[in-house]
Amino acid sequence: MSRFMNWLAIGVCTALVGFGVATVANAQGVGGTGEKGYINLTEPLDVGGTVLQPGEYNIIVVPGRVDRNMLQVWNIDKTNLLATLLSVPHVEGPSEVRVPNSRYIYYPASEGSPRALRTWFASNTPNSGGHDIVYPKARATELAARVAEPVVAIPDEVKVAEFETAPLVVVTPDKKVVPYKVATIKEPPAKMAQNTPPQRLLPQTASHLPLIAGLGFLSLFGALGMGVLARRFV
Amino acid sequence: MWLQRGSITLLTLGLPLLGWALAAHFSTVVYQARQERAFFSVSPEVSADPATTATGADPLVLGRIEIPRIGVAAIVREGEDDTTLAIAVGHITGTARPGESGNMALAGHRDSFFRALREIRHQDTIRIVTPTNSWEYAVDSTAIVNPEDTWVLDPTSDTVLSLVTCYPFNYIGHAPKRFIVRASLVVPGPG
Repeated sequence: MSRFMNWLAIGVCTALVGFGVATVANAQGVGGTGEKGYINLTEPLDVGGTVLQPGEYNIIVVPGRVDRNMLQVWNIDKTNLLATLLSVPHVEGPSEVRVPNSRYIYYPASEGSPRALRTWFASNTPNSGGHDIVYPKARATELAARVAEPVVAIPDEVKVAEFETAPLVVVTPDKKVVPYKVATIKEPPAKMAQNTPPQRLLPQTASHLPLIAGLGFLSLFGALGMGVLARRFV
Repeated sequence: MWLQRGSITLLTLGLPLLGWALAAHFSTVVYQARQERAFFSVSPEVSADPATTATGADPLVLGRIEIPRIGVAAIVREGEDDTTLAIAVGHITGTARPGESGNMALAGHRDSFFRALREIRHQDTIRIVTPTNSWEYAVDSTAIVNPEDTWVLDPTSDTVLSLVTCYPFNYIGHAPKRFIVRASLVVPGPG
């Protein structure tokens, strides 16, 4: 009997290990979808009008409408949302093909202004293209003049809640403002939420949980039955 | 003697399996409760600004689905991957989002969140709730389709809601069919 109790103890310990492993596995899975990345800053960086101080940050893409996505900047523990900004798909035209050596491309710093994030490529989706960061119009005007290239912008007074519907414009180096046209994108490089579902199959919506639980119960009933028989024949 | 060994073997096999299943269920319950608290605890005025998301809130959570008559209430999360469907109802990426016109498609496990869909009836009310808005749909139809029938996700001119789960409901493992519930918007949210 004491031997049986020893085995029982081992079994319970194994069950607890299984419980622990499953809990950890499930916990790690949360938040694991979509484009995301990590950035370690050694100097201040402007991302969409918010200046991040040196430190470590997580970036998560929240798929938006056809012509834009929202990027969320979180602290390293993902407990505080520090900034929400807009991005548009990064376009690489025939005359400006640029293969990034880094996952981040910057606008240079100027006197009184930190450098600014220009394009971000999510590290976990290397084939989905990059995100050009959208800036408030005043800041975009300044950046466009500095790099002599157009910068996509939103009106200065737009709040985060209006990001999905706010009009996007392009500020040119000579301070002209023209509407942003998604049609200029020849091949959308970024993963966008579009109203054309990419699925080839409808999602599988059955878990293995009932099967695992069923097998567990069967095993336990089998063990109980065999234990009873063992005692009867001893 | 072999009976005793067999008993011990089955015991050491069964307990981890049950432990795993319990842990997975426990994780789901904890996730749902935590997101419910984090997502809906902030006041509507505050929650309109995502920068004030409560601590612990999953940024991929979109809202909650409720079907009062059959007791369905679950957090909806962006995506239809295994992780998402294990802990929440998944919003199928690429379909309309809450508040957008068109076809919003949600997928859920038939052995957890969407198990009660077997009892869904014509004109049952389905609600999609966010901290600031609520949209009410009425069930128009149900259908059993093949997994290849992705037309159920196609954009529509009307604002509709499509729920997707596996069929038959009592099948063990990956079921060969899909059960579709199609509902039309009857009470639009204020936004």
